[in-house]
Amino acid sequence: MEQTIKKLENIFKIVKKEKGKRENLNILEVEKDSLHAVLSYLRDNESFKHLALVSCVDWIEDNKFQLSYILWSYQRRVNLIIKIFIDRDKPEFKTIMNLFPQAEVYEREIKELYGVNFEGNPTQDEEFVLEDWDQIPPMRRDFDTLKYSNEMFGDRDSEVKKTNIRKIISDYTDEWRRK
Amino acid sequence: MWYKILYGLLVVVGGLAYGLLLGGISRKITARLHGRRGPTVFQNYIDLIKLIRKKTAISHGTMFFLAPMFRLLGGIGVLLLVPIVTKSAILSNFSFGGDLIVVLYFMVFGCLGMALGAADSGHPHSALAPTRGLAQMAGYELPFLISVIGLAIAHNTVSLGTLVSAQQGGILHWNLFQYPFLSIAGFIAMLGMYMAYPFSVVMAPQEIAVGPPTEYSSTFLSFMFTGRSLFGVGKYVLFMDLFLGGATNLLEAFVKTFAIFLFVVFITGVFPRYRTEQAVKFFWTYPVVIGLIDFIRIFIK
Amino acid sequence: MKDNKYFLDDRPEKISYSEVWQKFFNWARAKSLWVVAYGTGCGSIEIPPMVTSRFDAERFGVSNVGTPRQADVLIISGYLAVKTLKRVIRVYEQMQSPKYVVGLGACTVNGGMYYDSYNTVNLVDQYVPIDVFVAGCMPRPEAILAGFAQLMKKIKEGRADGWKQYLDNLDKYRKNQEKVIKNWKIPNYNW
Repeated sequence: MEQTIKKLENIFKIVKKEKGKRENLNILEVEKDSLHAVLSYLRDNESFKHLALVSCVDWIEDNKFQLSYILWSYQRRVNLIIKIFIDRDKPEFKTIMNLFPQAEVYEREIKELYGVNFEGNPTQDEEFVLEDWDQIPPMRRDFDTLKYSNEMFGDRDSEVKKTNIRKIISDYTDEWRRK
Repeated sequence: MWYKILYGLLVVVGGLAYGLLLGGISRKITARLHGRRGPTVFQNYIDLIKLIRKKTAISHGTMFFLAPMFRLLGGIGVLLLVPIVTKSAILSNFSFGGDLIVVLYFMVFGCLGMALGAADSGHPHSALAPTRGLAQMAGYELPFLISVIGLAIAHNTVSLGTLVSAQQGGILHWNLFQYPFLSIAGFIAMLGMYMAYPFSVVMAPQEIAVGPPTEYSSTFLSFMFTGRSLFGVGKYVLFMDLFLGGATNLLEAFVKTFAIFLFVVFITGVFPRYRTEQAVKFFWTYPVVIGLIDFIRIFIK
Repeated sequence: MKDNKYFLDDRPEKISYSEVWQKFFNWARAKSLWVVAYGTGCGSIEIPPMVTSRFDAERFGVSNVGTPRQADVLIISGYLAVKTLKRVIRVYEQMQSPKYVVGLGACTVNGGMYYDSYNTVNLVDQYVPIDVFVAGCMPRPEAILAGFAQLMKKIKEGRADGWKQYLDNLDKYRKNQEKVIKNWKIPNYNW
């Protein structure tokens, strides 16, 4: 795996290298303009033929979205995560459907839940999970889900909520111990 | 005579009670084969009582309403025309000289009514089922007719009463032993008629929901349920008359129909399901060839 | 009734029963519960063991049917997303009265672990009337059978009248449903 990363370093600019929590997991941060080149290099020359997932992280403090492309090599049984950062105010990126066609669905999901626009993906505006959603994308961290849930779906005004359940349980166990 | 009508009502009510009980027993046996305890044998009575009092608020046109009646009429027609106990005033029913032909007509009539209603209900699953059902009917009608017409030619009659009296005088006079190949063809065709398990592609539980009655609910469904039970009993009695020598008292009729019922249930319990074209292919090869052996033998004689 | 209409667009009439035979028919209803095979959440994985050999719900008369038209009981099995709620309403309205609803799991009671989710309905009984709640996350098949025993008891006593309340308070339920389902595309009344 080190050899692969060294080869990559010779060709592309690697911003940051990290070791994953598992033995066979490595994380590389690259520049967002070179992502397509990195992915196609890994796919064609280094046997990373399987795109396992495309995911997104909202770094609201840095005003950035992180896009992670998780790859898997069947021959070497290793995971490799390629991550890039894009601007949060202008969440736009190019699709990777030309390299991995199955990315269409992942990008559609990210578009719905984070609002990242993938240029060149034909189906990204279709509804994925939510139907008739009229708020800001719900997985962004400035969206208050508890407030929305309480306004939209309400909560049960019952005695159960007002009582202190922990106290009831501890009282009960104390009583049980005394016996 | 007017009291014949009373006798007819008695037979219908008794036949319904017996048919529902047989259905319950078959559910119990299937459950025991699965290693379950299963419902009580009276579960079908309870289901029927519940269905009668359920409300209905749907309408799919005239044919949708008529189809359960057709089914019920087919069931009552078959049950009332076959002699359950020969030479009995009540239980010989409305048997007459040409009753076999009318019974054959009623058996198709019920299925056709069902198919029309199901197709009218507008649900894709219930529209799919009649195509399968009619294909399968085309399959089993051929061996069934070979066996019935073979018997009719052999005994030179189309009356069930005459057929029964020709089989009297010992177990070896039964058509089951006189014409064994015709009997095999007839009983295989019967499995298809009951939509028993190798040939259950019409109702196809788990595959197309519940088949033809997908849109039927409440009272309509209870009529279908009733019709099916009566139809079932009628066909058991018909096969008893055709192959097992009829019955001279009520106990004999119970024992013989129950034996045929057990034959169907045990085959149902252990077999997987044929596709439509496989079922039709099966019906048009093995039972037809087996039946033709006796058929030709009758002609040569 | 009108001929050749696939949906009845009229408002349903209120149903009243004569009381004479009620006890007898309630007994039959309690003994023969047909459950529509429709899984809405993670709890539907508990239904197959309930009806097959291990727990065998059929010995209580509980069996599965594949179509809502013939069913008596709708099981809301676990969390209910807004998208699924639309389908649940349609299935519930296609069932014929009398009909009962069983809510499985903490999610149907008050949202459970998804109480703050943007997509999970918290109080299911605001949208469809629920006769019996079964608590747990998820309830085991024994608990579901206990819930069914409770439902049978309620039916026998004549207290399981959620379907009557739904017809009586239809406007209230519709208002709640339309608050959550913003784009109401399904027919207004589909029984």
